[in-house]
Amino acid sequence: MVTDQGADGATATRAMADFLETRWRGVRHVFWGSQLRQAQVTAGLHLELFNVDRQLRFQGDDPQRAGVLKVPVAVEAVAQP
Amino acid sequence: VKCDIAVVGSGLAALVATRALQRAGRDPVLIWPGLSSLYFLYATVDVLGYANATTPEPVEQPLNGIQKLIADDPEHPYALAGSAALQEGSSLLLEWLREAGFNWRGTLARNLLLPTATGTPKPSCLVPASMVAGDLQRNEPIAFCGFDGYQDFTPELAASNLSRAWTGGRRTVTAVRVPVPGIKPDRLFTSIDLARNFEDATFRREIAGRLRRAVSDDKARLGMPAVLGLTHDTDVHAEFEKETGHPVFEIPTLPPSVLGLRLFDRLRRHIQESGVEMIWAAPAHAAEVSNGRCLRIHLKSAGRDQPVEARAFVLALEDAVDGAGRAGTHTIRDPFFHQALAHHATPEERTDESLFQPQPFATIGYHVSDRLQPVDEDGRPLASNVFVAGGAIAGYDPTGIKARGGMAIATGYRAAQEAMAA
Repeated sequence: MVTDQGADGATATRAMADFLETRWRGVRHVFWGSQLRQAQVTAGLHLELFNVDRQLRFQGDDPQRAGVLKVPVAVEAVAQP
Repeated sequence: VKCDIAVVGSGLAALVATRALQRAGRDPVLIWPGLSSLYFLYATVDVLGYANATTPEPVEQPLNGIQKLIADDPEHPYALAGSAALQEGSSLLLEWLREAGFNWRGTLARNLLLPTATGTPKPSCLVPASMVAGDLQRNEPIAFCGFDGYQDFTPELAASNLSRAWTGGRRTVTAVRVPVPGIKPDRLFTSIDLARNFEDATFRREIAGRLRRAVSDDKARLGMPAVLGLTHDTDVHAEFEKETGHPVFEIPTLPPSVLGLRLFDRLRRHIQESGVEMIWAAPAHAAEVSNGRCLRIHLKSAGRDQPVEARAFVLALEDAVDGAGRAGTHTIRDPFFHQALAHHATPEERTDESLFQPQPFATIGYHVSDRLQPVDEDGRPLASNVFVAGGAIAGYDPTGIKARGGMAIATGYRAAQEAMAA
């Protein structure tokens, strides 16, 4: 969407989330055996690798009104322990 | 097989437990039930990203955050393991990573804030050195770099999201794409293909040249999908920074995750080369208990039953792909004691209606004693010499608080200490 249709990131992320949510509602009735494991991996990928739950929280329902993250002030480089 | 202490699992909890036993002079055997979840979910070691599953405010100081979490919720797996186990286990892991040839950074005192592949800032604690330049607490502009035809990283999406989140549009975040030499854009190729190619100096210099021309801002740091070398990543990253003339940071991608592969393959090989015996691809199907002690566990190995006898057992199952639980349509049972870990009238009760909310299935697992022994309904240990670590502990849900690595380290380390004392 961002590359083909020139949508902004928040709109594209919301569209991806809506797609994933719809699919989730369709498949959550069959979560046993290996399907349950697959569900755990799917949730882990989007929430842990991408942090999409926080992206959605932070951009809100209206992509045009997305907020700005409070980033802590820069500190010295991280020391190797 | 007869051994001193048997560790069952293939995730970080199992590796940390095995390493802790080895370093303490014990003789562990590592039983590997199947493909590791490291491949899928580990890129960094996240210790505590958020104080709870819903707050948008990241945790700045993970160790302090965990001490508060332990005080507030004495049933949390971090509380069961104790913050000392996290501290000692993390030191053990960092020392091991160095010995195994990794270059990792970070301390429990402070989180880094790194952009994910969707351009979302995410707090992480211990990370490969090749990711550090992405820290959003630094001010230099960022250029996300993608490749024509490579579908697992969209630089434009990352740039648009990060630009808004990080700066409200004030700092410069851009996106560039370059063609990959030798690969036609209509061919499907993965992170592994790219990572292998990046070990070739000619290929790498060609890409570096294309990026130098594409990125106009001399001060920009380059955010790349994590494909900078499959096995010689430390050298490849350093060379590539010189060749592009920019600081470069890697960003974890969808499976196949090169960061996960590097971590898992090298640690597994290292622990084997340092003398730990491994039993491969053998799922456990029963524990033999007598007079309150587990005498042996039974594995299904090459189609036959293989008993493993040990003085103590660490069940360090990651639960996502290791099969900690056998999930039927209504009941989820554990593979060792055949206890019902959860009952559901319908399978939908295992999940939330939304994928982006905490999932009930994540918290299913063994209830454990204060020594991490699995217990029955009355709180009595099922076997006094069995200890649980990782995702197989009830109430263990690292997803929302972004704590998968830290929870695995803390419980793995603590279970190993208890197994030695058993």
